[in-house]
Amino acid sequence: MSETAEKYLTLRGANSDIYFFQKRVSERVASIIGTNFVKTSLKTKVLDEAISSRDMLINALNELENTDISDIGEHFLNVFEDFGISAKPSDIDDEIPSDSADQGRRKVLIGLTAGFAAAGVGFAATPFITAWNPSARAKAIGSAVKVDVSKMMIGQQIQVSWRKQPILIIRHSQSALSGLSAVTSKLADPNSDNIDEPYKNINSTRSLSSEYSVLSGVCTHLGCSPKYYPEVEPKPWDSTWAGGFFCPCHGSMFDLVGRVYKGVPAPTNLTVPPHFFEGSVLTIGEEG
Amino acid sequence: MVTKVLNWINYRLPIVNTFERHLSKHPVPKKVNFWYLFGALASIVLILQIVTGIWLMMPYSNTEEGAFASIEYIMRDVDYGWIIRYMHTTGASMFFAIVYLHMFRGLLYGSYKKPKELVWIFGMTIYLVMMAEGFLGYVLPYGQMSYWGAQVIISLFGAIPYIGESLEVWVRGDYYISGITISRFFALHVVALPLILIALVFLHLVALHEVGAGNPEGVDIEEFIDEDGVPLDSVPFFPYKVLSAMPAIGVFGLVFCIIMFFFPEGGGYFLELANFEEANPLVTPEHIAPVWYYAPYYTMLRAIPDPLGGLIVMAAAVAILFVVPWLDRSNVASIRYKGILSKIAIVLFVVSFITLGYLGTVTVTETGKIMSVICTVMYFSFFLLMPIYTSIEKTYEVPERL
Repeated sequence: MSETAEKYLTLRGANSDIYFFQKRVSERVASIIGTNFVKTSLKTKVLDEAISSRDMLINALNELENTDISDIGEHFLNVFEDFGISAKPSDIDDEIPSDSADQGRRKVLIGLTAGFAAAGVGFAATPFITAWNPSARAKAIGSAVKVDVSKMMIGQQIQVSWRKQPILIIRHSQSALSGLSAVTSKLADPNSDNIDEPYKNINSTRSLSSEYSVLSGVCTHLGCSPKYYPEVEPKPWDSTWAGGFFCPCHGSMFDLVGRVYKGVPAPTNLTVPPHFFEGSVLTIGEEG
Repeated sequence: MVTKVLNWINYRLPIVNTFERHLSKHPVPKKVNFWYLFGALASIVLILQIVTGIWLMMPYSNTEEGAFASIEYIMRDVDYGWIIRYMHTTGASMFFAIVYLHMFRGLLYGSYKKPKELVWIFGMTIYLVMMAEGFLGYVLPYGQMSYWGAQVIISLFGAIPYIGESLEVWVRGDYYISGITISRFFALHVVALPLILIALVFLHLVALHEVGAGNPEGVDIEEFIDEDGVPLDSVPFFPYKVLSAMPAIGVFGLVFCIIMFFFPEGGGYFLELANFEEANPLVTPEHIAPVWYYAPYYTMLRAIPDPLGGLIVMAAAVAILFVVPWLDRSNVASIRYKGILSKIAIVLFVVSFITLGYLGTVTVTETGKIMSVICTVMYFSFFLLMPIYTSIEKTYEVPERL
């Protein structure tokens, strides 16, 4: 038969009967007949008879697939019975006497048990989750740093590390500060209204000093460190560059005091870390 | 004697039956093409990654001060340490290359069609875990690119509203990517995720063997079977598939060795040049690019001018692959019998995915930005329009036999 193999037909058994063998019936049919395959003797050795029986079975299976079980005609059920397949919806549910146990009470008990188990898992998970928080040592290392900024040249930017993150300190020239208003129209949030910033509207530098800016050098987009390009000259990323910060990772632009441009990936201005000045000594990481 | 021992075991644990059922006698379609090799290659690379990984763990130091130095120690002082490390790094890139080709095979020949949905979903979960695994592994050398790559990826958590910032600190365990972060990433990279990966590969294969392997024609070979229920158009896995896979494995080994010995850095795509410098939390490298296998998603992230939006688009780009079995409404599985619309769609999809990948490795330019938005739209259209174009197009009749 292998040369002239017919769909779902195969030789089987000592008596060489032709068998119908479908390895995978549809999900619906499987739920009705209780298995996901059909394997049954067609009780004949003649190929033509087997083919017509097979077509009957395939039709019956299709019928089972497409109609509601209660609407299926007797003759189709007979087809199945002839071939030893029980085409009846499983009625296991009915076999359990409904009054043998208090189902409502059982449900409540199962629910309570599951609830307590879930709470237990929650408590047990606490050490595993909180162990990922910064340890006491990590917290202690992140305390304030001091810098003497009097030696900085005008226009210079220096970088110090607080909590191992870059803090940018810039000493602005008067002309740079007076030029800030020229770019205001290109900025997304010139007055820092969108961020919680304690130093806004004190100085145009956004810091507690009228000459120095103190900025977190962490791009508000995805945490790269924007670079300082104070020159007023055309740049590859902006032909009308007026000086400021450019993030090499995703092209965010900020002006000289760290205010973000419109239409760049960074959503907000660079943040200003807590700081205060004592003469020329700047402390970063604490409020004055 | 051997038979006796084997019988003794088999009586208690059906090891022979299981071996025959899932390996030696497992029936596979008799006619498949080279696209069907990548599953086997992926399992070979997985074993290679596990073995080389165990050997790398021995000299590696998971501390802030020691991590970078221990990599140099492996490269210079450990006998053949360089070959083990390059095997691991080349293996990582090859693993992704193979898995991308394996996934593309799935899209081409409908390897996700009913009843193979679970095989596809387990496979996609493997891909997801692999991406996490690759990222964690890339952070371990604590070079400049490790540091700043991780900085960008961890900052993605910060984009989640309300809990974002504390989540970032929680993931790092510090205010920057420190030794604490390294050692927890180490634990996840070498124990947690590999365990999950192996379990998923097991499920992927068991689910596959339950429903049977596909073929490029999209023919259901189980409709014609012999008296033992074995499909007529199948051959046993051993020796037919094992032997025919041998030359392919040889060619793959050759390519692997050429990369490992002559181009281990892959021109900066496999190992980035900035990573040969120790991490400096205060200086961002001039140009941050992801390794090539994340590049398409990274481009999508950059294309959206808002971190949360970028994160959502990036996550959606991976998530949408999971639901492909329900997006494809075609009545045929293989691209060979699908209509012209599906064929155009898959070509455009490949073009957009490769372009996205290229854009992710170069610096941002104005044209690049526009291109990345266009390609992101093309990428999503392939999936979102799939229910439409697969149901309206005229398909060709699939033959009954393979």
